[in-house]
Amino acid sequence: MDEIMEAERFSAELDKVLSGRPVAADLDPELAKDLAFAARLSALDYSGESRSKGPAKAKLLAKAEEGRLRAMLRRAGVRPLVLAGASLALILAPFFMSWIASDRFERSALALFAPRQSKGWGGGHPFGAGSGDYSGGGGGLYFGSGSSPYESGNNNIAAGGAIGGTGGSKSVGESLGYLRAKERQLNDMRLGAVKGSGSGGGGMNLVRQNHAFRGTAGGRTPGGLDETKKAGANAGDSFNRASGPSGLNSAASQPIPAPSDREGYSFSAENPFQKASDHPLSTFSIDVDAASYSNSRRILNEGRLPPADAVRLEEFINYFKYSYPEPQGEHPFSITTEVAACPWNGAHKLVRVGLKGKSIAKESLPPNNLVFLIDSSGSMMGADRLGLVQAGLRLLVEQLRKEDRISIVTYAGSAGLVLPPTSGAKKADILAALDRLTAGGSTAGGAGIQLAYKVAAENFIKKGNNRVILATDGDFNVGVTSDGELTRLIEEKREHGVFLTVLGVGSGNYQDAKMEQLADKGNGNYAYLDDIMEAQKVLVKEMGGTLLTIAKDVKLQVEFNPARVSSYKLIGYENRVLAAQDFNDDKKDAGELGAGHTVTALYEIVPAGVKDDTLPSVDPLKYQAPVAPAPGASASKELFTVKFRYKKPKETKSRLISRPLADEDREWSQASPDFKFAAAAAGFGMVLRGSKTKGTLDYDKVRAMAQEGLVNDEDGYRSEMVRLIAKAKQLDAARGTSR
Amino acid sequence: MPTDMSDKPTAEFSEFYSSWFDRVYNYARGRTGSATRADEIAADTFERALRAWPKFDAKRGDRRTWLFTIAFRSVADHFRAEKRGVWSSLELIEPADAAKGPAKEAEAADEKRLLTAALDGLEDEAREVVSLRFFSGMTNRAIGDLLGLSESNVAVILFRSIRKLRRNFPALEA
Repeated sequence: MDEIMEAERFSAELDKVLSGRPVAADLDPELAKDLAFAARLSALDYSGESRSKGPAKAKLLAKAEEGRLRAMLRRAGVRPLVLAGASLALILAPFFMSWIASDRFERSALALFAPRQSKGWGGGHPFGAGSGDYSGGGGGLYFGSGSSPYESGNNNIAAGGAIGGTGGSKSVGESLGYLRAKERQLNDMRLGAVKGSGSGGGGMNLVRQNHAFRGTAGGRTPGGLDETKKAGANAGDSFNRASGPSGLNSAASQPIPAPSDREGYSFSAENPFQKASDHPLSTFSIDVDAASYSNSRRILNEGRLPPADAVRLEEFINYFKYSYPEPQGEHPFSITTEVAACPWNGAHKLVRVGLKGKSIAKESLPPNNLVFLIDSSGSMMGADRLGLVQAGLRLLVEQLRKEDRISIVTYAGSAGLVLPPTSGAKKADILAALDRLTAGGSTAGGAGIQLAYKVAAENFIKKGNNRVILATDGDFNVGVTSDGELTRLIEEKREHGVFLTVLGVGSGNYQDAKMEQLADKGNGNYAYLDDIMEAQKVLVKEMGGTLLTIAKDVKLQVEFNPARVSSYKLIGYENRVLAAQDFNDDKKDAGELGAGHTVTALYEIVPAGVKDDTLPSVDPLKYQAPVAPAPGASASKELFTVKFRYKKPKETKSRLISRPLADEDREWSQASPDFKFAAAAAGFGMVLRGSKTKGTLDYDKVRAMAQEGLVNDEDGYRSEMVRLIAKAKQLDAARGTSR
Repeated sequence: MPTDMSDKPTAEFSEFYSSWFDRVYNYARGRTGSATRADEIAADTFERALRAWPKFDAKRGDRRTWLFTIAFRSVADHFRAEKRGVWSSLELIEPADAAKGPAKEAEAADEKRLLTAALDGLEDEAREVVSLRFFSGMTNRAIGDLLGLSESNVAVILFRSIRKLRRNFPALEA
């Protein structure tokens, strides 16, 4: 009894303490000490540690905004239309709901939808106070969101932070842009539902339903996944691109194409032309990744055109090897420059800047401490996913030496550490462990990455290559802030010398944006494996580069000479662009260069004196004199000076190289075959993207350019692109609208 | 039927988020002892809160209790999910303050570390009560309602916990 009284006394006094009122004067000294202690406890504030506060808010606000838009739609009377097609709506609602369920809730929501279709997601999900009683149609759409583009919008926030570029608000704006676009599609879909079968609206409707079908099947059961995969061919990834059977019945009863808009791609607008007098500096981080090309190839081979945002021009260019000279002297890479008339706009010039990292013979590579972190969740089931990862890693294992150490960690499914650190000499053990992997269970990406880094740290080889190799479809089943969590961990570990390589596989729910971002944060690289040939290329042929970083934080800054350059445009590298001052800031993270890797950047340049219609004209300034070129600039033949900053892998201070490029008048026909092919790869990407600045480019022209660049093609990668161009042309023509 | 949001739901929610995020974060941080989990739980809580926003009924309680009821359930779900997975035994790797070395013993940071460590030593229920009481600012009665305990039961748990913490950590006694 005494204790209860004392406790209640304590609580009463505590209320006073917490609300800032004076406590009673006649307190027992022990109780006074308790209160003093309690006061200090209540003053604890951890909120400064939070990493999700800003990003999560941006995401939620976008959601709130979407809710408002939907409410407006409802008020505008869209719902009666839907109700008019009541039977259709009943069929569609659960599918549609599963589509709009956010990434986070998707699986649990889907599990609910499959058996009891009209309950909505509130039914069994522990939403606490928020449990919804949405019942199909309009009402249920209220908070739906989280489609891939939306998710990517959020990814942009983090990525923007990394390169010190964009702020949160801009990204929110972008997200909202997506939501609005989606709203329009939603409308279309509803109208389509009323119209029923047929072309046009019916086609859109069909795709939505396809999507829903896939979503339902994708409930992470083995059967469901197989269905999904069968459904994977010939999907339309934007709604007006849909083809295939029309009519709802056929849609519901046949295996249906899986649209790719559950795949997450970051929105990217192409770099604009910049006036050399106003923006003389162009600064960006290098990017050796090539995942966008192999991913686009996969989509093309599935019989679809890749969505514009899946095409990153620099990754198209850098997929291919160019014959740059080996570096000489103190710097670990060589620099090559070339200029010629621009093939898609004769009045412009095209400039190529190429880097090549020092090649290192396999024998002299430092010992590897590799931790394979393999996603073995249900979504990884299949020969093109876990099977491909296993096959690819088997190839890599063959390359290992006895001084190398391999560990295998899985996430989801049975166990954490599948293979303890094992010498590369014990190939049979490693291969057996690889073969034992099976897919099943849900994904907890965060915990897996943490374990992998822990294993890597415990087996750290001082002068070695310490690296976590993450193989996944990227569909982490962790919360809203999982990106923040992973980013935090990865950033921390890279400071300790553990690097990250990301191998992406699979389609349908492939999270491109997330994986690229992870690799960037981990000072790592990122490759998309679409087949065993690509696995061979990445893991065996380029293993030196993929696994060994020779220069980190490689940044490039070009200063244009306004006396010779009116305006310029950097082709690709949109999400790598840095602010001018970031160039000299050694704290700013940038891309890594691996042994033997090549990196190529192209600039389209409008020479001074040529009519420049790339930019809208601006009235002359009233209060400022136009900036005059420095004395001597006019006399100089230099187009620009390119500067590089890089750090050696273990250093924190950057080194600088700079190299001017003299202007030349060369026809495109005089350009080197490598230059021609690089321009063709970029051009192919521009045509696929429907770029505004593609000038006279079309599939035929790009193909002709590529054919002129068919040199050093023992592996057949270049001729493969020529075939892909032809394929893309056919697909585009079949779509009915030519780009 | 959920009622529609007001005309400025975004601004309204934005303000709500800004004024309550830190408290929710602190609660989750104190409750779970992990910054990573706290971030997840806080974000999850507000996502759920947004979803449930139109259904909040001022007659049935204040926003604080409503929000922390959501946060409480998010914590519970989080623990449940962790237990179900194989990862429950794996310690989440946190950037430990201790790693910064004894050289940097700024007093405030040290106190924070000790208090945090003290919280780690509490039983589950006690930790819940203490976290709710100190970080959410809920009353004993509201906490009791949430946890299915009587008001004096909450008071006793709270009292015992504080006394235990204080005595176990004499360094923290002012």
